Amino acid sequence: MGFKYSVVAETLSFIGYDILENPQAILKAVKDAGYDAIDLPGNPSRVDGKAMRRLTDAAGLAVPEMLGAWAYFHAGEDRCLSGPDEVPRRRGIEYAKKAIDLVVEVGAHLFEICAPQPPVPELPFSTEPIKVVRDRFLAAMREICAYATERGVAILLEPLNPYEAIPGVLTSVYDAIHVIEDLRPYDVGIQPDIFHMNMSDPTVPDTLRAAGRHIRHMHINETNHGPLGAGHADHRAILQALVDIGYTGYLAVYMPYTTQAAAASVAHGYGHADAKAGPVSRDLSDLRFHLEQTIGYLKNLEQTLVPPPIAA
Amino acid sequence: MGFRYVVVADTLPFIGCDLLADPEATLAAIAQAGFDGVDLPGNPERVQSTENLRRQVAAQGLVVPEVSGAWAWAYYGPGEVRNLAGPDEAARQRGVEYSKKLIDLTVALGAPMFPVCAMQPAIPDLPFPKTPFEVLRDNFRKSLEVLCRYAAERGVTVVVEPLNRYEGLTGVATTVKEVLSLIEELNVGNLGIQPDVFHMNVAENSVCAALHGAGKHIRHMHINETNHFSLGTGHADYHAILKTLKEIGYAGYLAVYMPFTTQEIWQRTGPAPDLVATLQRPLRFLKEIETAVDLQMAMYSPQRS
Repeated sequence: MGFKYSVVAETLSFIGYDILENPQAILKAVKDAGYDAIDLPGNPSRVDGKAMRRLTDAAGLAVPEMLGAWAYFHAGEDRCLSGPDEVPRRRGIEYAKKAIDLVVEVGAHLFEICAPQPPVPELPFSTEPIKVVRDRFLAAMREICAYATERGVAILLEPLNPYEAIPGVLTSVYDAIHVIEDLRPYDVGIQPDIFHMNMSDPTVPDTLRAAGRHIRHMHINETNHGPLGAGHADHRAILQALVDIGYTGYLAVYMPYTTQAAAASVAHGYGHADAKAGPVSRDLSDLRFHLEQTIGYLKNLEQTLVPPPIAA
Repeated sequence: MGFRYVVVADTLPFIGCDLLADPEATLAAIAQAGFDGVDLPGNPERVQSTENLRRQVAAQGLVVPEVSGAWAWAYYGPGEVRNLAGPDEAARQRGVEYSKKLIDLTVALGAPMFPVCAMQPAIPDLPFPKTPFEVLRDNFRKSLEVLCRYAAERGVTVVVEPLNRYEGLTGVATTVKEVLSLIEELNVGNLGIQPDVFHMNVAENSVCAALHGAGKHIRHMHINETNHFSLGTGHADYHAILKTLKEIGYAGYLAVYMPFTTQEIWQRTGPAPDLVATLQRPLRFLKEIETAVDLQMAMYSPQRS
């Protein structure tokens, strides 16, 4: 037993690093800290898939997934797959296809999709009926899923909180289960994320048990985006729920939000689509610190878990 | 002594009800459900006669602790940016002037409190605001200073509600600690905190630890669920929250949110649920927990015979 660990590379921007600015040194630090893998940014305009594959192979790291950039503050442009405007919808679909090509190039098998809000979020509900926006989302998904299937890539749905995703379309794990049912027979799974689940789902562990085998990748972070333990996520109960449902995928960990200055010092990553490039080379001590602290916290908890119940 | 309970009227649209469209019937339902009062909507454009509304509230035996700010602050409410902290000085001035109008409305409606927030712009700046925290915080402090003075002259207390980072500006007023530092710095008698369970669930390390930290500075308290649905469907620990409020000697109101229901109900295209029954549900839920907390605390009280 034992979980496999991956780092969500784009969250390195929260501690002031950009995987694409200094890949070799960062990949080495990730490997040295004890991780098995790295989830790379699904950014076709910046990532050379083949070159990145050589680097991750050389570092001895797997690449389970490429992360999609869907929220406006992440993508830097409107990629709303469900709104009435054809332009962002088409932009989102084309972005997904290019990113799926990149997933293949880099040797990964999973690509993440969300149902993003428009730049100015519509709350508490979308203006249009949920059925209308949901049907548009499903139509976009069918086109993307068909493209992914031909290339052997599975799509993972990440339910986001209602500020980032369209309420009633994909803001809870239950929404995701219903979307999967409507997208059959395509190969679609769920990538739950603790931060988002804390805002949408009844309780995180119970919801993970309900999602069961649909979970193919798992985002591990904190309720306030601080370092693990600085919020109130019950990570032990969460890991136990994953053990109990027989989860065999990765724990894809987030780096914590640190300072405004650290986040502003990188040119890319969440919230930096329009930022100017910051310093590239830097001392890697704080990178190592956060990587080690995060995996250490989880591996300590792992020691306290009990084996899953034996099926009768 | 037991808590007193009020409804946040700005949340009635979630259950398909608009207080200002039919104040008499809505206030009667609130009283019938067993609430002690109502936080009225801070919407001066829609309040035709403050005298009438005040009379209607009094006729039902209700109190008005606060005139709410939700409509005033969230962009999706008024559809314009009224920011008390942002770098756009015009938007900040608009926010200050609008707040003064709302403080006047607060006085006219006989309420003692008015809430303010440090809002994100319409397109939120995430994960952090692009403007340095120091600048934003300084702007907010300046706005608060003006508003607290204006409010003090009118006998009103200003309460700051820390919002989660999607609605509020991180580094300015998204946590209780940030607001405490502003209260300490401004050192005026009429500035307090209005914690909100939903927002605290996103921003705070622990809801109860933050409430303990806020202590006597809590002047009003928003009770809602972590997913904004009915109390009990999320994972807020109300037993621990009410116990903490009693431990710190909180003597204010529990201002209860109505739950998100459906899009049809919110958009008033579908039939609204029975108003009195829907109002009663969270009240019964909370009173039941309050009773359990009281019993538990009495068991550990040194006066127990």
